[in-house]
Amino acid sequence: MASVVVTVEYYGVLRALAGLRKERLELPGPTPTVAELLAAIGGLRPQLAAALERTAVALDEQVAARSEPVYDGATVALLPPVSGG
Amino acid sequence: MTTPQNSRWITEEPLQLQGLLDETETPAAGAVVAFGGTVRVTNDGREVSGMSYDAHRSMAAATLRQLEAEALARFAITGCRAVHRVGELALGDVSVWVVVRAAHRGPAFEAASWLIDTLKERAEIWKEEHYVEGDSKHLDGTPIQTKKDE
Repeated sequence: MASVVVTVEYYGVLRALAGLRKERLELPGPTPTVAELLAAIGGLRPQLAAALERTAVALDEQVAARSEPVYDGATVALLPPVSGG
Repeated sequence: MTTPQNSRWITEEPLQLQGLLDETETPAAGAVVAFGGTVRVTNDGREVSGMSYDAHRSMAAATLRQLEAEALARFAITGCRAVHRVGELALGDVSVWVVVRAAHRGPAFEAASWLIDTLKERAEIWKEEHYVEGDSKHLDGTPIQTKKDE
């Protein structure tokens, strides 16, 4: 079964909790969803699990619903609650 | 999706108000309102030593550009600009400028207020407060809306 390789970018508190800016992740394919990607990240990095519940996910800069498929080669930005100003 | 001009909205450089005033200047305007946000020494009872701002630069720049367009559509104004700084800021540094020009002051004040309020809710920007004791904290914020969920 084909797998999906994505680049995950961490922002805000997620970057501090993960201790890194980005990483490549391989997910079992062929069509993992955003929810499954978040579950995989939460399993890999349990310190993020709670924060991921309030995190928006952008696939190549387009905010995606939890039910949308994650495609091979996507840049996945994990966007926690925003606090600019 | 990176535009070559993200720095018009998101920049590491100290913010310059005069450039924003020049960009929006028009004889049709009889009012100009400028709001600036600055790094404050206390928050939630703790003494702050500085602030770090992080952004998804291309998404945040696109959001600020979109907010400017929305403000022009919603309010009777002649022009507006919103710029946010990222990186390490010291006490008193300006983190954000909103500039609005309009024929009359009412819409100028309303649009400036709407712009800063909405920027805080929607721009892909995160602040981390640093305290004099040496620790730091990412402040809680507003979740980004995902239209197709819920």
